[in-house]
This record gives sequence, structure tokens and C-alpha cells, in this order.
Amino acid sequence: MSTATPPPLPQRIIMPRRRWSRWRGWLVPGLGYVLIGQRARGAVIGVTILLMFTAGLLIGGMRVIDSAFIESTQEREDRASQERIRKSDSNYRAPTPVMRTLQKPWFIGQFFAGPVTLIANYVGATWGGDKGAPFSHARVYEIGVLYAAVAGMMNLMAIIDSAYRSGNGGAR
Amino acid sequence: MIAFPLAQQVTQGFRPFWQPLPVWNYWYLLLLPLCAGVSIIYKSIKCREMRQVPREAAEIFVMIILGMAIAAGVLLALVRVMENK
Repeated sequence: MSTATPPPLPQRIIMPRRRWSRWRGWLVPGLGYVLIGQRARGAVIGVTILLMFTAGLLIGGMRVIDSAFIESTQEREDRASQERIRKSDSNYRAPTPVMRTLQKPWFIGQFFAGPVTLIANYVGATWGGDKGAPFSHARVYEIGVLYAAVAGMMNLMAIIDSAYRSGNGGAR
Repeated sequence: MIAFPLAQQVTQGFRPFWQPLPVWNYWYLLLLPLCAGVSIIYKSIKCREMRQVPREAAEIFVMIILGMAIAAGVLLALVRVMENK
């Protein structure tokens, strides 16, 4: 009778399809890594991104997340009245969605931090009545915007990396 | 030294997320957590093993801070030279 232990069976890790890990990485920062079995990496990246994002909100106030599409009631009314006045000018053309997005370019970077950006934008625009939460100014506003945008861009890097790893057996 | 007046301001009617953080006089210190966050995330993505991350993130954090300090020194010197012209 042989007492030798049998050779271990090769481990199979079932990887999610690349596009799914990409989208889940956007929904919850770091989830793309968790889904391919790299829990520690996912947890460290996810928690750090969310902490940076929250730090941005704390430094500059909720209004550091400011998109052209989620506005307070007063902002919407102001924009509508401005458009009514300008419509009398025959050369006036209403801004397209692309133009409106480019007027607030930091939101593009912030968007990649996930749905938390849209929630923060909505809360900022509706908190405290028609005007929404107040905007901060100068350096604290800029630094808050920067924190949230860097968090978003870092999450984009993590999304791309986790999608690549999921198609490469977990390796880079 | 820095923490005491900041803590005093924070407790005097500060509403987090509604008002900006009262860091008007210490804004440059906000560079530190941003650099720490970038270092940790970058090295978590880059390193093969997560064990390597704390050491490598600390190294890159120090390098970023030193780079920023050198850049600030060079810009300060440049401004002084331009002022004296």
C-alpha cells in the first residue's frame, strides 16, 4: 500500500466576462477585483477611492459634485429664463448636451467614481430647498473638486486593470 | 499646534458637507492625504503581491512629496528672480 499523497488537482478560477467586471467596478469601486478572486486588492482600492471621494465632499461641501444635468430648482429656473431672454437673438443657439457637459469638465472625471457621484450630485442640488446646498469658493472648492476627480480617475484605472486581469487569468 | 485651532473651528457650528472644511490657513496640508491615496491605489494596481503594497506605497508617497517640495522651491526661486528684475 502506498502512503504517498496524490498530486493536488489544478485549481480552476472561473473568471467573469470582461465587460461585467468592468461595469461592476464602476458600480462599486474595487468590485471588479473581488469578482476575479483578488479580494484584498479590491478592498484596499475600493475603500481608498471612497475615502478620497468622501474627503473631497467634506473639504469643499456637497456642491463639489456639480453636473450640467442634475440641477437645483433655482438653477433650472435661472437657465430657463436666460434662454427665454436670448431666444430673441436670431444668432442664439441653445447649448447641446455635449456643450453643457464641457462647461463642467471636472464632472467627467468625478463620474468614474460610480453611482455615488450621481447620488452626491442629487443630494447637493436638493439639500436645503430650492437653492440646494451652498457652493464653497476659492481654494477649498478647487481642492474638493480635485479630490473627487482624482478618486474617479483612479477608479477608471482600477476598472481597466481589473477588466484586463479578468481576461488574463487574474494576472497583469 | 495646527490641530488645536482647527478643532476649535470645527466645533464652532461647522456643518460637515454643507459648509467647506475650515482649513483656510492649512490648505497645503491637504496635499498629504491626496498623495497617500494616489500612492496606495497606484501601487495596489501595479504590485504583483499585496504584501509589497505598504512599502512601495510609502516609497512613492515620499517621492511625490519630495518632488512637490522641489517644484515649489524652484517656482519660488523663479518668482523671486522675476520680482527682482
